[in-house]
Amino acid sequence: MSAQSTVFRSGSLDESKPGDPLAYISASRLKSFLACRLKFYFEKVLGLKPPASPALQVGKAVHAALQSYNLARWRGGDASPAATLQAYDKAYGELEAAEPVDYGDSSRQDSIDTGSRVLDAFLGSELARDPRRVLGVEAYLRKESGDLPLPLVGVVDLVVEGNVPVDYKTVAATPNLEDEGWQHEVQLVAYNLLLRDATGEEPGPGELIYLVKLKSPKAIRQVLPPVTQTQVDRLKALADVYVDGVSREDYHPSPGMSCRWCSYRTQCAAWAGSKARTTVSLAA
Amino acid sequence: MAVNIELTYGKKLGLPEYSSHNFSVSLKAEVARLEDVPGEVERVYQILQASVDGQIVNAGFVPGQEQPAPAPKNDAGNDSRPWKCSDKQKALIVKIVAENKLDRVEVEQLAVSRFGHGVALLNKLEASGLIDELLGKTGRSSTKKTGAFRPFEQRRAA
Repeated sequence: MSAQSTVFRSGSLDESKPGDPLAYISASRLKSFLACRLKFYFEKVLGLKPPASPALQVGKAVHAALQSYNLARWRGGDASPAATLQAYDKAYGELEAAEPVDYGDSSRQDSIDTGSRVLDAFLGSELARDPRRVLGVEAYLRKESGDLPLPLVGVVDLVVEGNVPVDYKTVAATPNLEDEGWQHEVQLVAYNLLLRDATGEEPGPGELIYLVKLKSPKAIRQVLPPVTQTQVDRLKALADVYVDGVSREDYHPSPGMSCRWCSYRTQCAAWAGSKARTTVSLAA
Repeated sequence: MAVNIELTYGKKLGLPEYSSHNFSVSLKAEVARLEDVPGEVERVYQILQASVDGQIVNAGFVPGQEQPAPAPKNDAGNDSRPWKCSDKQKALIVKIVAENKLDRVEVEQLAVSRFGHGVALLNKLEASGLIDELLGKTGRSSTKKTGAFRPFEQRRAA
């Protein structure tokens, strides 16, 4: 995940709760593990949850609104901007009630308005009037293991005609598309494998829709190149690395740039090479 | 004045040794106005086509084969036909229909309306969408640990 982007649901499963990390793999689990094994341990294995940031909160509520919008388009419901913004407000309140948000120096109302503005920009753009037939919204997919060491699961924001996976990203600044394509490779290759398994057909190239939270918000679509066999092999190799590391409970910190915005620095500081010591410290 | 329409859809498929089998289904419907006829015809056509396609795949006795193919069961709840979705999805669809006493014809119509073919022909992606919608209609959420069977707020990743 890039520093400027706020990507919330790369796997979109209920991975906020602790679970058996060897039950399945998802793009979210893989990316988290590969970025920092200790953070993965805190987040996915122990289920430690820091307060949500305003950006995370806005991103989740915007995604909920887009889910409502796409379901309405698909099933013949109310897909008007008013109904979509209403869904956004409702989701914002429900998410906030379920999980505290640390607003820090920022204003709650500013966060709410940021999400409304970016939704408005999307709904007013050509991207919202995509003529392609909807095939799935928040589509849960599971591919049993076989050529992968564990079952692969994922939830795709939107699938349109041609078995094209579409994923929404709320970002703080205009994205560098080349960087973003690189950052989201694991997710889109995973979606390709999942859709190929689910439909028996070759999926279309993945698409990312960035909702840019500028003062003048905008929506940008990026069509990624077709997934190559090398990318598929690479994902499988990364899945092997994941299973090997998790099986050995090899969770260690990866000091780097991403520590700047990591929420687990306090817990991380207690790590001294012993998983047992870390666990005792966290329990205390 | 009500308008009665009668629709038939049939299909004939070739089989080995210059033989064939065909199957057709007829249905009578009533619409309130003449203007409603095109829409009703389109809707019924989809249903009939899905029904015929769902059955005609079972060829029964095929010349040149030693054993006749097993006849399919008619009870959708115990359907032995191969479904395109996963066994777990099939079991869940059957369970939702049974537990909520849903009308199987309506579920079939819903599948045709959303995906263009009947329930047995849904692939895993389409079955996921149907399950989601059925659970939404029945006001239930699944206890399974899967994203698609739970409302959004329970599905987010960390």
